[in-house]
Amino acid sequence: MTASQRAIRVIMTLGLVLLFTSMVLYRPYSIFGGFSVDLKDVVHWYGVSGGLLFMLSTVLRLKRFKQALRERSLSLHCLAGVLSLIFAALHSRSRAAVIVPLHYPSYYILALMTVVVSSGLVNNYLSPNRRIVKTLRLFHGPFVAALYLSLVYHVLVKTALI
Amino acid sequence: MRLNRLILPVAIITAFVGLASTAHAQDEPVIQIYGLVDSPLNVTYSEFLRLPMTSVNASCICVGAPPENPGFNSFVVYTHNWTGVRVSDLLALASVQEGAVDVVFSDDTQYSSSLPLDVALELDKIIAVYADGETLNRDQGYPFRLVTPCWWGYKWVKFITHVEIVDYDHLGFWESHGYPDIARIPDCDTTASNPTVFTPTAQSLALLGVSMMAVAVYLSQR
Repeated sequence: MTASQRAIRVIMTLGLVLLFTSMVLYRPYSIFGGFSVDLKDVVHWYGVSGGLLFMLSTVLRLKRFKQALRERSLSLHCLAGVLSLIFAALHSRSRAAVIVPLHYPSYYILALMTVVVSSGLVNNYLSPNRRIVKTLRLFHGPFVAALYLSLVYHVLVKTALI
Repeated sequence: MRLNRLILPVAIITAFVGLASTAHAQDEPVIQIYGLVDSPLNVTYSEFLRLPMTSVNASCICVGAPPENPGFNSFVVYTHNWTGVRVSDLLALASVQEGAVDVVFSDDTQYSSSLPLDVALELDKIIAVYADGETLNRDQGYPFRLVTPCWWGYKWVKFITHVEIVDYDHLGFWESHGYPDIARIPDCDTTASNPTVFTPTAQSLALLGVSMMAVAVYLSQR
Protein backbone atom coordinates (compact mmCIF):
# COMPACT_ATOMS: atom_id res chain seq x y z
CA MET A 1 0.00 0.00 0.00
CA THR A 2 1.35 3.42 -0.99
CA ALA A 3 1.69 6.39 1.38
CA SER A 4 -1.17 8.25 -0.32
CA GLN A 5 -3.47 5.23 0.05
CA ARG A 6 -2.56 5.07 3.72
CA ALA A 7 -3.37 8.77 4.09
CA ILE A 8 -6.76 8.26 2.39
CA ARG A 9 -7.52 5.39 4.76
CA VAL A 10 -6.62 7.58 7.73
CA ILE A 11 -8.93 10.37 6.49
CA MET A 12 -11.79 7.88 6.02
CA THR A 13 -11.18 6.35 9.47
CA LEU A 14 -11.15 9.79 11.10
CA GLY A 15 -14.38 10.69 9.31
CA LEU A 16 -16.04 7.51 10.58
CA VAL A 17 -14.75 8.10 14.10
CA LEU A 18 -16.14 11.65 14.08
CA LEU A 19 -19.51 10.37 12.87
CA PHE A 20 -19.47 7.75 15.61
CA THR A 21 -18.54 10.39 18.23
CA SER A 22 -21.51 12.48 17.15
CA MET A 23 -23.74 9.45 17.79
CA VAL A 24 -22.29 9.04 21.27
CA LEU A 25 -22.60 12.74 22.07
CA TYR A 26 -26.14 12.74 20.74
CA ARG A 27 -27.34 10.46 23.52
CA PRO A 28 -28.34 12.91 26.22
CA TYR A 29 -29.24 10.19 28.66
CA SER A 30 -27.59 8.29 31.43
CA ILE A 31 -27.67 4.64 30.50
CA PHE A 32 -28.79 1.66 32.54
CA GLY A 33 -28.42 -1.18 30.07
CA GLY A 34 -31.29 -3.12 28.59
CA PHE A 35 -29.67 -6.42 27.75
CA SER A 36 -32.02 -9.33 28.09
CA VAL A 37 -31.10 -13.01 28.22
CA ASP A 38 -34.70 -14.16 28.08
CA LEU A 39 -34.89 -16.87 25.42
CA LYS A 40 -38.26 -15.47 24.33
CA ASP A 41 -36.53 -12.26 23.41
CA VAL A 42 -35.61 -13.53 19.95
CA VAL A 43 -34.65 -10.11 18.65
CA HIS A 44 -31.82 -9.71 21.17
CA TRP A 45 -30.48 -13.14 20.33
CA TYR A 46 -30.43 -12.23 16.65
CA GLY A 47 -28.22 -9.30 17.63
CA VAL A 48 -25.87 -11.52 19.61
CA SER A 49 -25.72 -14.06 16.76
CA GLY A 50 -25.06 -11.29 14.22
CA GLY A 51 -22.18 -9.96 16.30
CA LEU A 52 -20.66 -13.41 16.78
CA LEU A 53 -20.97 -14.23 13.08
CA PHE A 54 -19.29 -10.95 12.22
CA MET A 55 -16.42 -11.82 14.54
CA LEU A 56 -16.22 -15.29 12.97
CA SER A 57 -16.11 -13.65 9.58
CA THR A 58 -13.10 -11.58 10.70
CA VAL A 59 -11.35 -14.54 12.30
CA LEU A 60 -11.66 -16.52 9.08
CA ARG A 61 -9.47 -13.96 7.32
CA LEU A 62 -6.65 -14.28 9.83
CA LYS A 63 -3.47 -15.61 8.27
CA ARG A 64 -3.58 -18.93 10.10
CA PHE A 65 -7.12 -19.74 8.95
CA LYS A 66 -6.48 -18.42 5.46
CA GLN A 67 -3.66 -20.90 5.06
CA ALA A 68 -5.57 -23.79 6.57
CA LEU A 69 -8.80 -23.27 4.66
CA ARG A 70 -7.29 -21.83 1.45
CA GLU A 71 -9.96 -20.62 -1.00
CA ARG A 72 -12.73 -21.82 1.32
CA SER A 73 -11.65 -19.16 3.81
CA LEU A 74 -12.92 -16.36 1.56
CA SER A 75 -16.25 -18.09 0.85
CA LEU A 76 -16.84 -18.79 4.55
CA HIS A 77 -15.81 -15.21 5.34
CA CYS A 78 -18.46 -13.93 2.91
CA LEU A 79 -21.12 -16.39 4.10
CA ALA A 80 -20.59 -15.41 7.74
CA GLY A 81 -20.63 -11.73 6.75
CA VAL A 82 -23.90 -12.01 4.82
CA LEU A 83 -25.55 -13.95 7.67
CA SER A 84 -24.33 -11.41 10.23
CA LEU A 85 -25.94 -8.61 8.19
CA ILE A 86 -29.23 -10.52 7.99
CA PHE A 87 -29.20 -11.13 11.76
CA ALA A 88 -28.35 -7.48 12.43
CA ALA A 89 -31.23 -6.35 10.18
CA LEU A 90 -33.63 -8.66 12.04
CA HIS A 91 -32.23 -7.38 15.34
CA SER A 92 -33.00 -3.76 14.46
CA ARG A 93 -36.19 -4.50 12.57
CA SER A 94 -38.51 -2.70 14.98
CA ARG A 95 -36.31 0.40 14.83
CA ALA A 96 -36.45 0.50 11.06
CA ALA A 97 -40.24 0.59 11.16
CA VAL A 98 -40.33 4.00 12.82
CA ILE A 99 -37.80 6.67 11.93
CA VAL A 100 -37.14 8.81 15.00
CA PRO A 101 -33.87 10.40 16.16
CA LEU A 102 -33.56 7.95 19.05
CA HIS A 103 -33.02 5.21 16.49
CA TYR A 104 -30.17 6.96 14.60
CA PRO A 105 -27.36 4.97 16.28
CA SER A 106 -29.05 1.73 15.18
CA TYR A 107 -29.28 3.00 11.62
CA TYR A 108 -25.60 4.01 11.73
CA ILE A 109 -24.42 0.57 12.82
CA LEU A 110 -26.69 -1.18 10.33
CA ALA A 111 -25.52 1.13 7.52
CA LEU A 112 -21.87 0.43 8.38
CA MET A 113 -22.54 -3.30 8.36
CA THR A 114 -24.35 -3.05 5.01
CA VAL A 115 -21.43 -1.14 3.49
CA VAL A 116 -18.88 -3.62 4.87
CA VAL A 117 -20.75 -6.72 3.69
CA SER A 118 -21.86 -5.38 0.33
CA SER A 119 -18.41 -3.98 -0.42
CA GLY A 120 -16.94 -7.37 0.35
CA LEU A 121 -19.42 -9.11 -1.92
CA VAL A 122 -18.99 -6.65 -4.78
CA ASN A 123 -15.25 -6.88 -4.36
CA ASN A 124 -15.18 -10.67 -4.53
CA TYR A 125 -18.01 -11.69 -6.81
CA LEU A 126 -19.60 -8.92 -8.80
CA SER A 127 -17.34 -6.10 -9.87
CA PRO A 128 -15.39 -6.45 -13.08
CA ASN A 129 -14.17 -2.87 -12.68
CA ARG A 130 -10.63 -2.74 -11.25
CA ARG A 131 -11.10 0.82 -10.03
CA ILE A 132 -14.16 -0.11 -7.96
CA VAL A 133 -12.41 -3.16 -6.55
CA LYS A 134 -9.43 -1.00 -5.60
CA THR A 135 -11.63 1.57 -3.86
CA LEU A 136 -13.64 -1.05 -2.00
CA ARG A 137 -10.45 -2.75 -0.83
CA LEU A 138 -9.13 0.57 0.38
CA PHE A 139 -12.18 1.30 2.50
CA HIS A 140 -13.16 -2.19 3.68
CA GLY A 141 -10.68 -2.04 6.59
CA PRO A 142 -11.67 1.40 7.99
CA PHE A 143 -15.36 0.48 7.82
CA VAL A 144 -14.71 -2.79 9.64
CA ALA A 145 -12.73 -0.90 12.32
CA ALA A 146 -15.54 1.67 12.72
CA LEU A 147 -18.08 -1.13 12.93
CA TYR A 148 -16.15 -2.90 15.70
CA LEU A 149 -15.84 0.39 17.59
CA SER A 150 -19.61 0.90 17.35
CA LEU A 151 -20.36 -2.71 18.28
CA VAL A 152 -18.14 -2.56 21.36
CA TYR A 153 -19.87 0.66 22.41
CA HIS A 154 -23.29 -0.91 21.78
CA VAL A 155 -22.41 -3.97 23.89
CA LEU A 156 -20.96 -1.84 26.71
CA VAL A 157 -24.13 0.27 26.75
CA LYS A 158 -26.43 -2.73 26.72
CA THR A 159 -24.57 -4.47 29.49
CA ALA A 160 -24.61 -1.24 31.53
CA LEU A 161 -20.82 -1.09 31.75
CA ILE A 162 -20.87 2.54 30.60
CA MET B 1 -16.93 -22.93 -5.72
CA ARG B 2 -19.67 -25.09 -4.21
CA LEU B 3 -19.55 -23.05 -1.03
CA ASN B 4 -20.00 -19.82 -2.99
CA ARG B 5 -23.20 -21.13 -4.48
CA LEU B 6 -24.53 -21.76 -0.99
CA ILE B 7 -24.33 -18.12 0.11
CA LEU B 8 -27.47 -16.90 -1.67
CA PRO B 9 -29.82 -19.78 -0.71
CA VAL B 10 -28.59 -19.82 2.89
CA ALA B 11 -29.07 -16.04 3.12
CA ILE B 12 -32.60 -16.25 1.71
CA ILE B 13 -33.62 -19.11 4.03
CA THR B 14 -32.16 -17.31 7.07
CA ALA B 15 -33.97 -14.09 6.18
CA PHE B 16 -37.31 -15.90 5.77
CA VAL B 17 -36.96 -17.86 9.02
CA GLY B 18 -35.90 -14.69 10.83
CA LEU B 19 -38.80 -12.66 9.49
CA ALA B 20 -41.24 -15.41 10.44
CA SER B 21 -39.86 -15.67 13.98
CA THR B 22 -40.12 -11.92 14.53
CA ALA B 23 -43.57 -11.61 12.98
CA HIS B 24 -45.06 -10.86 16.38
CA ALA B 25 -43.30 -7.50 16.18
CA GLN B 26 -46.04 -6.53 13.74
CA ASP B 27 -48.77 -6.79 16.42
CA GLU B 28 -48.72 -3.18 17.38
CA PRO B 29 -49.87 -2.04 20.79
CA VAL B 30 -52.69 0.49 20.68
CA ILE B 31 -53.78 3.13 23.17
CA GLN B 32 -57.45 4.15 23.10
CA ILE B 33 -58.54 7.66 24.10
CA TYR B 34 -62.27 8.07 24.57
CA GLY B 35 -65.00 9.37 26.86
CA LEU B 36 -65.74 13.09 26.95
CA VAL B 37 -63.88 13.91 23.74
CA ASP B 38 -64.91 15.14 20.31
CA SER B 39 -62.62 12.74 18.47
CA PRO B 40 -62.02 9.38 20.14
CA LEU B 41 -58.63 8.05 19.09
CA ASN B 42 -56.93 4.71 18.62
CA VAL B 43 -53.24 5.56 18.53
CA THR B 44 -50.95 2.75 17.42
CA TYR B 45 -47.42 2.42 18.78
CA SER B 46 -45.81 3.64 15.55
CA GLU B 47 -48.24 6.57 15.31
CA PHE B 48 -47.46 7.40 18.93
CA LEU B 49 -43.71 7.49 18.23
CA ARG B 50 -44.24 10.10 15.53
CA LEU B 51 -45.84 12.57 17.96
CA PRO B 52 -43.68 15.32 19.52
CA MET B 53 -41.75 13.93 22.47
CA THR B 54 -40.73 15.36 25.81
CA SER B 55 -38.25 14.07 28.37
CA VAL B 56 -38.62 14.20 32.12
CA ASN B 57 -36.09 13.23 34.78
CA ALA B 58 -38.17 11.67 37.52
CA SER B 59 -38.25 8.98 40.18
CA CYS B 60 -41.14 6.62 40.62
CA ILE B 61 -41.60 6.49 44.38
CA CYS B 62 -43.71 3.81 46.04
CA VAL B 63 -45.97 5.34 48.65
CA GLY B 64 -45.51 2.51 51.17
CA ALA B 65 -48.08 1.71 53.85
CA PRO B 66 -50.36 2.33 55.67
CA PRO B 67 -52.68 4.34 53.40
CA GLU B 68 -53.50 6.73 56.25
CA ASN B 69 -49.87 7.81 56.40
CA PRO B 70 -48.64 8.10 52.79
CA GLY B 71 -44.88 8.24 52.48
CA PHE B 72 -44.23 6.74 55.92
CA ASN B 73 -41.97 4.02 54.53
CA SER B 74 -41.78 5.08 50.91
CA PHE B 75 -38.96 3.99 48.60
CA VAL B 76 -37.71 4.84 45.12
CA VAL B 77 -38.64 2.13 42.61
CA TYR B 78 -36.56 3.58 39.78
CA THR B 79 -35.21 6.84 38.49
CA HIS B 80 -34.96 7.42 34.77
CA ASN B 81 -35.00 9.99 32.06
CA TRP B 82 -38.45 9.20 30.71
CA THR B 83 -39.36 10.14 27.16
CA GLY B 84 -42.84 10.20 25.75
CA VAL B 85 -45.78 12.29 24.61
CA ARG B 86 -47.37 14.86 26.86
CA VAL B 87 -50.81 13.87 28.06
CA SER B 88 -51.89 17.42 27.16
CA ASP B 89 -50.86 16.86 23.51
CA LEU B 90 -52.83 13.62 23.31
CA LEU B 91 -55.87 15.22 24.88
CA ALA B 92 -55.57 18.16 22.47
CA LEU B 93 -55.68 15.69 19.56
CA ALA B 94 -58.84 14.15 20.97
CA SER B 95 -60.43 17.56 21.87
CA VAL B 96 -61.69 17.27 25.43
CA GLN B 97 -65.26 18.43 25.91
CA GLU B 98 -66.47 20.82 28.57
CA GLY B 99 -67.44 19.22 31.87
CA ALA B 100 -64.49 16.82 31.98
CA VAL B 101 -63.22 16.24 35.54
CA ASP B 102 -60.77 13.34 35.58
CA VAL B 103 -58.51 11.54 33.13
CA VAL B 104 -58.54 7.80 33.87
CA PHE B 105 -55.59 5.66 32.80
CA SER B 106 -56.07 1.90 32.82
CA ASP B 107 -54.51 -1.32 31.60
CA ASP B 108 -56.10 -4.55 30.43
CA THR B 109 -56.17 -6.04 33.95
CA GLN B 110 -58.65 -3.58 35.48
CA TYR B 111 -55.88 -1.61 37.20
CA SER B 112 -56.57 2.08 36.91
CA SER B 113 -55.71 5.42 38.38
CA SER B 114 -56.70 8.93 37.50
CA LEU B 115 -55.50 12.50 37.48
CA PRO B 116 -57.66 15.60 37.70
CA LEU B 117 -57.87 17.17 34.22
CA ASP B 118 -55.90 20.29 35.20
CA VAL B 119 -53.09 18.11 36.61
CA ALA B 120 -53.06 15.83 33.55
CA LEU B 121 -52.60 18.91 31.37
CA GLU B 122 -49.41 19.94 33.21
CA LEU B 123 -46.40 19.84 30.89
CA ASP B 124 -44.42 17.25 32.88
CA LYS B 125 -47.17 14.61 32.74
CA ILE B 126 -46.29 12.27 29.91
CA ILE B 127 -47.14 8.86 28.56
CA ALA B 128 -43.66 7.40 28.25
CA VAL B 129 -42.33 4.90 25.73
CA TYR B 130 -38.63 5.25 26.51
CA ALA B 131 -36.56 5.15 29.70
CA ASP B 132 -33.02 6.47 29.35
CA GLY B 133 -33.36 6.36 25.60
CA GLU B 134 -34.30 2.70 25.47
CA THR B 135 -37.71 1.25 24.75
CA LEU B 136 -39.49 0.44 28.01
CA ASN B 137 -39.10 -3.13 29.21
CA ARG B 138 -41.93 -5.12 30.78
CA ASP B 139 -40.94 -4.13 34.29
CA GLN B 140 -41.06 -0.49 33.29
CA GLY B 141 -44.51 -0.92 31.75
CA TYR B 142 -43.96 -1.56 28.05
CA PRO B 143 -45.50 -0.32 25.77
CA PHE B 144 -47.02 2.79 27.39
CA ARG B 145 -46.72 4.00 30.96
CA LEU B 146 -47.87 7.14 32.69
CA VAL B 147 -45.13 9.31 34.18
CA THR B 148 -46.42 11.70 36.81
CA PRO B 149 -43.38 13.27 38.46
CA CYS B 150 -43.83 14.20 42.11
CA TRP B 151 -46.93 12.02 42.45
CA TRP B 152 -46.84 8.71 44.30
CA GLY B 153 -46.03 5.57 42.33
CA TYR B 154 -49.57 4.16 42.18
CA LYS B 155 -50.43 7.01 39.83
CA TRP B 156 -47.72 5.85 37.39
CA VAL B 157 -49.99 3.42 35.55
CA LYS B 158 -48.08 0.79 33.53
CA PHE B 159 -49.18 -1.08 30.37
CA ILE B 160 -51.73 1.65 29.52
CA THR B 161 -54.29 0.57 26.97
CA HIS B 162 -57.13 2.99 27.74
CA VAL B 163 -57.35 6.69 28.54
CA GLU B 164 -60.87 7.76 29.42
CA ILE B 165 -61.99 11.30 30.11
CA VAL B 166 -64.84 11.29 32.63
CA ASP B 167 -67.13 13.88 34.22
CA TYR B 168 -66.85 12.56 37.79
CA ASP B 169 -64.16 12.12 40.42
CA HIS B 170 -62.85 8.64 39.60
CA LEU B 171 -61.23 6.49 42.26
CA GLY B 172 -58.62 4.09 40.96
CA PHE B 173 -57.47 0.73 42.37
CA TRP B 174 -55.37 1.99 45.29
CA GLU B 175 -57.46 5.10 45.79
CA SER B 176 -60.49 2.89 46.45
CA HIS B 177 -58.35 1.07 49.07
CA GLY B 178 -57.84 4.26 51.05
CA TYR B 179 -54.86 5.91 49.40
CA PRO B 180 -55.30 9.60 48.60
CA ASP B 181 -56.69 10.54 45.19
CA ILE B 182 -54.57 13.71 45.15
CA ALA B 183 -51.25 11.93 45.56
CA ARG B 184 -48.80 14.80 45.27
CA ILE B 185 -45.46 14.15 47.01
CA PRO B 186 -44.51 16.99 49.35
CA ASP B 187 -41.30 18.98 48.69
CA CYS B 188 -40.71 17.42 45.29
CA ASP B 189 -39.36 19.08 42.15
CA THR B 190 -38.85 17.91 38.58
CA THR B 191 -37.58 19.16 35.24
CA ALA B 192 -38.91 18.68 31.74
CA SER B 193 -36.78 19.12 28.64
CA ASN B 194 -36.92 18.69 24.92
CA PRO B 195 -35.05 15.53 24.02
CA THR B 196 -34.11 13.56 20.98
CA VAL B 197 -32.56 16.31 18.97
CA PHE B 198 -29.05 16.31 17.59
CA THR B 199 -27.14 18.85 19.65
CA PRO B 200 -25.17 21.51 17.66
CA THR B 201 -21.88 19.83 18.69
CA ALA B 202 -23.09 16.44 17.53
CA GLN B 203 -24.38 17.98 14.30
CA SER B 204 -21.02 19.66 13.60
CA LEU B 205 -19.11 16.46 14.30
CA ALA B 206 -21.42 14.44 12.07
CA LEU B 207 -21.06 16.99 9.27
CA LEU B 208 -17.28 17.06 9.62
CA GLY B 209 -17.17 13.24 9.69
CA VAL B 210 -19.27 12.90 6.52
CA SER B 211 -17.18 15.60 4.80
CA MET B 212 -13.96 13.76 5.61
CA MET B 213 -15.43 10.54 4.26
CA ALA B 214 -16.42 12.33 1.06
CA VAL B 215 -12.89 13.76 0.74
CA ALA B 216 -11.42 10.29 1.23
CA VAL B 217 -13.65 8.86 -1.52
CA TYR B 218 -12.74 11.77 -3.82
CA LEU B 219 -9.02 11.34 -3.24
CA SER B 220 -9.24 7.61 -3.83
CA GLN B 221 -10.67 8.25 -7.31
CA ARG B 222 -7.92 10.63 -8.43
